[in-house]
Amino acid sequence: MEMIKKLLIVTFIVVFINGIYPENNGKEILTKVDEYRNYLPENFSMDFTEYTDDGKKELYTIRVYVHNTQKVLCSFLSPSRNLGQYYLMLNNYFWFFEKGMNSPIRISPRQMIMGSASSGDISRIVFSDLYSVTSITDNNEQLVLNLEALPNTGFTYEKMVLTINSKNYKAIKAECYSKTNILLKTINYLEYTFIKEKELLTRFEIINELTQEKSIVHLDNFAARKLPATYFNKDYMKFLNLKD
Amino acid sequence: MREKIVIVIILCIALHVYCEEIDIVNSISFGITNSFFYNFINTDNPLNPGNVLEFELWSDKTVINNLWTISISSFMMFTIDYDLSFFMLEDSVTGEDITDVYKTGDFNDYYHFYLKKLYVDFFLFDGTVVLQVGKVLPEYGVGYIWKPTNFLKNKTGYSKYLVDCYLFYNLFSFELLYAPNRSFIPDDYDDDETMDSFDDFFLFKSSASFDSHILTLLFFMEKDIKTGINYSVQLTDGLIFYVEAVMNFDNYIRRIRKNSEMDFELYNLDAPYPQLLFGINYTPDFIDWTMIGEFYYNGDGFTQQDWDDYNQCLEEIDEFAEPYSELKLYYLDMAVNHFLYNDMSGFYAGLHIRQNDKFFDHLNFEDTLFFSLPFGIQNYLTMVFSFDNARISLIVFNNLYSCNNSEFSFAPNDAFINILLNYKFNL
Repeated sequence: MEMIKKLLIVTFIVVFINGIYPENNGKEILTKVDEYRNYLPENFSMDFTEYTDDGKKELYTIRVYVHNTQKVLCSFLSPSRNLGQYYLMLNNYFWFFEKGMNSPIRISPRQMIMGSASSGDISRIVFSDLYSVTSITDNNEQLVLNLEALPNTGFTYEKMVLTINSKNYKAIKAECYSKTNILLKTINYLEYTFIKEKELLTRFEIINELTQEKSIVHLDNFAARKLPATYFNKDYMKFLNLKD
Repeated sequence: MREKIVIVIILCIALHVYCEEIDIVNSISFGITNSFFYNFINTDNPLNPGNVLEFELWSDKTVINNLWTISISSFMMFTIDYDLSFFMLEDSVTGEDITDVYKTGDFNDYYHFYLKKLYVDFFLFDGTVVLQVGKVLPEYGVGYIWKPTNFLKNKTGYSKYLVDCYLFYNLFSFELLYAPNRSFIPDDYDDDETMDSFDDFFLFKSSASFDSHILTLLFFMEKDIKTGINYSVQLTDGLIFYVEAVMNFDNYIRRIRKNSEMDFELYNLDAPYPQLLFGINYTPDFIDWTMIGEFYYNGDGFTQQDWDDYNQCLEEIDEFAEPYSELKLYYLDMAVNHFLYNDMSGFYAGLHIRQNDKFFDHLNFEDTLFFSLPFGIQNYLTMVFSFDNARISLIVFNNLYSCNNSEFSFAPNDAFINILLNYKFNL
């Protein structure tokens, strides 16, 4: 009898939670989660630095120039051997160019660029444009969102399980799955910092579940910065000469 | 040669000093590469029986590369890219140092200066229009192994005196290129008979991006016309599909035929021909490797009749001329020079596999298999060990199989080993 009571309560909670957070509210929740990645609605830059899992050795730093959520340009600041390399994301599709090449080459989002982070991890700063929420579960002040990639968006992962704080909508953890339900990566969101009165994600950990490689990512140097619109055209990449 | 180097160095220093005062963005990369090359010579090669053309057994070359890009405000960008190489060749038969043989023209005192790029970009209307003037070789096409829409490919890789105008508008771009007469002719080109065949040429390109689709149209006009289209689309997160189609209305195709005994003639086949390439680029989600597969229909490939003519000429050269006679060497040289290696078959297929993460200090692999019809297989295996700014690369080529009438049977080597030691740094 006690068991049945418990089951009824759990069922009630699940139904209730789903009632509070229907699927059409999912996008709203994701938009709130995205707010911690967007320093400004458009035209800003930040530095993306990946460290080894102990956080001591810097692997590389990329400056990410955000024109808007659909147009992002990445330029290497270090190490020196990667200077002059650029990644351009247009509508979630990617191009790579290195000084000395005659033309940019197209790469798929899965083609890893460095360490545990893929091109998509670096240049995609929002969930709401890429994923729909299929279900939401309340789990002790945390919401667990099951995300499914929207078609034709150039998503990085087919499915995600995103755990967020139910009060402030800060992302806590993301589990990234392939189409065949293989767990590819786990991302632990570690630190949020106030930058010019806006609270932003500044540190997270990426665990490659296939290789068990771990790395720490720091985001800093957030600044308003407007590059000419032509910089976000793939045929313009060979004319880029950005150093800061 | 020395004057050229001095002028370039003075020009670079002058620009550097001048530009320091007007707040420039200055990107310099230096690379030094030592390349050790060992050939397993294909002595059965009908183009070079018994290695009579003295294809060297091994060579050692050191190349210093400098790529310097200087942006002067947001209006102008200056680019220079050159190689300075020092080399040594050894005779395949006697083992003697034969580097002196190459002390002609630009090859002096064991070094060779090669100016790859020297051009200026002018940025107008906030970068919406870019005017590029100078020595540069633009590249077109979306293929990885072959790029039939890369219309400037057949211009021997040399580049000079080019004016290229780009217009960017949102996700569209347009390009109009003009190269004056003979601008692509190598410095040492001395074939008077064909010199006049070079002409001014124009190229127009328009490109548009729509979501995951990129479509490019090209129109090339020299004496005759080429038109091309290339398209790529990302089908899933790890899968890119691309296609290139070309219609050539020119008469670039070269054939060799016999007029009478020991009298052979080169001629152009005056007929339009199509080219078509399909390719996929696939990266699975469970491994950091990318696979590329391409199928290439090359409409200007040799027909059976062309192969018969070609083989008959070679047989007669072999039969009638003395082994090391000037006449024999002349005809073999002619046959070699007009042999478009990797461009003579009607059908090609390629399979490329590579590790994607190339940025850490460890070993990476990539491998490319080439197939040609009539049937032949070649393989390139590359292993790279990276450590900081240094790289050690091992490239192994194998001519795995080739039947008669496959151009792969004309490969100069059955195999080669190339070891590259490279150190590159950016300032």
